[in-house]
Amino acid sequence: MGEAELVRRAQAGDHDALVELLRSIETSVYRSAFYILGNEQDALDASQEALIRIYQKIHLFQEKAKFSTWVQRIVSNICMDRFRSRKDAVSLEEHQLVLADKNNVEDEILLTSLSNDVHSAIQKLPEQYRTVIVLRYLQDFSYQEIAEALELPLNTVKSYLFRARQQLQELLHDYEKGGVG
Amino acid sequence: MNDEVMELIQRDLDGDLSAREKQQLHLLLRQDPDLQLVYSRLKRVSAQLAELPRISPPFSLVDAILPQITADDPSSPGTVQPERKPEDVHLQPKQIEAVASVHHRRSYGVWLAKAGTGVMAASLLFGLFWLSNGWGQWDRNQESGAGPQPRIVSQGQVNAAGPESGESENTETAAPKMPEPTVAEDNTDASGQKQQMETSPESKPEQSQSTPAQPAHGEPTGKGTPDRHQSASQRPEDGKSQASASKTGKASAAASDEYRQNNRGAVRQGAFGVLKERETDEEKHESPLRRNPAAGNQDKQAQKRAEKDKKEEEKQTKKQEKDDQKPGTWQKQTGKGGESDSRKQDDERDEDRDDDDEDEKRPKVNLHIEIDVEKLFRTVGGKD
Repeated sequence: MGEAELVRRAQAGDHDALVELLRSIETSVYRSAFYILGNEQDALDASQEALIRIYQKIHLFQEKAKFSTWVQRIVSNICMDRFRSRKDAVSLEEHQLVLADKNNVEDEILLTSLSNDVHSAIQKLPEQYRTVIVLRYLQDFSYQEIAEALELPLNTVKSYLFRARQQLQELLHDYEKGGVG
Repeated sequence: MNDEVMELIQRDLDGDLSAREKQQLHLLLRQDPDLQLVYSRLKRVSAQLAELPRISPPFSLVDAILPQITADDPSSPGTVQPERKPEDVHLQPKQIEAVASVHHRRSYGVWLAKAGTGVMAASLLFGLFWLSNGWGQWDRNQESGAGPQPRIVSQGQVNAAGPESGESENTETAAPKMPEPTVAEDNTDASGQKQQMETSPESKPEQSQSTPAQPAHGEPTGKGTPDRHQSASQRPEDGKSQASASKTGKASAAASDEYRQNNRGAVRQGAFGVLKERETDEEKHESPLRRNPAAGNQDKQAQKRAEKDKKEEEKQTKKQEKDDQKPGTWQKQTGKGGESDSRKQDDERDEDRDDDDEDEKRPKVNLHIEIDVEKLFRTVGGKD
């Protein structure tokens, strides 16, 4: 059964179809949340919240847009809210959270790989740039889909993406030079 | 570095350049080695971003949120049954409230029943206390004093017919009960008709004294009595002794009727003397009760006496009415039934004896009544 059919049945009140639809999107939701928020625990909380909101607002989805872009919009909004609330907190707590994340197995794998620098560099990007990078490279969204998901103009999306990549290039170049971080 | 070249590089990384734009970018890269370095760094970063691990959640997020979804969402079909349980829980207090309201109604009804029983018990006790103290009798006397006033007044006149009463009083008091003629009749029974003839002149001056007052009371009564006096004056000439007694009875009945009418008029006019008579009559009835409040036997006796007096008065009035209706038959009756007349005379003697006994019990109070009666006659005569 395709995504469009599941969405239609779920909007008609089919609980099983809705649950199946949620199971099909839960990984992408968690992935975006993880790379936007930077840690597993926040990603789990944000992704669960996003899934509940999708379950509750499924009747508001309109077939004009792509279901994946509608889901990533919800996830990005939840992550933006959490990111802003966490940014308002004390900076010392952020460092403690970063240190705590190092204990995770997945983080250890990332640390051992080259992508660790990229992940660290992504976390240093502004939230708008970070979201655009995640949607572009982790959700394989086009400029237009990113624009629809983030409800931003297309040129703004390009700008954010170009600037985000340029910043990441600079950051990664610095890592290669002397390991600034 | 030109922004247009940087845009071409970024768009090339995203695969957004057309073939012409790609040729244009390649030309620029060949001409500038620094631009080639930047392009290679960005392409490397993009490759690194594309190679980011496709992580997945450590557990099923949907299975984790399903209990929460089913518990919170009432629209889902699977959540309907679990949400009815709290409704049932909410229904219990409503039932309790209903039971409490019913209990409240019941308690209110029980309270009313208790209050009613209490009020009834209190009223019964009060009534018993009232009767035991004789206040019920007092009330009866009060009520009887308001209604049948002429009878009580006539009793007062009978009481006033004692030896201490004056001449004018004797003329009036002889009418209702005829105590003195009965005494004369007792003599007639013992001695003969001559003594009765002697009593008739005694009654004549009384009646002649009463006649001047009769026009003052009213013409019809004043006219009726002289005719009877004339007939009575002729009858002794015939030599029939009992005619005088019947005549005196008629005269006394007529006088009593007149007196009752006068007293009724006085009562209606609210005369002062009548009020005093009421008080004195009440005192007569109350006096034995007040002396012995707890003596129910005396009360009964007094009631019996009052009833006897009433019956006697009624009998007398009936007789008088019969006599008045049949004025010519009295001679026949006297001629035919001498025994019936003797029985009537015996009854009258008994009644007079009872009256005398009552007079003996209450003699002194009557003086006040006599004075009041005079006032009454004066007031009534003055008005008429």
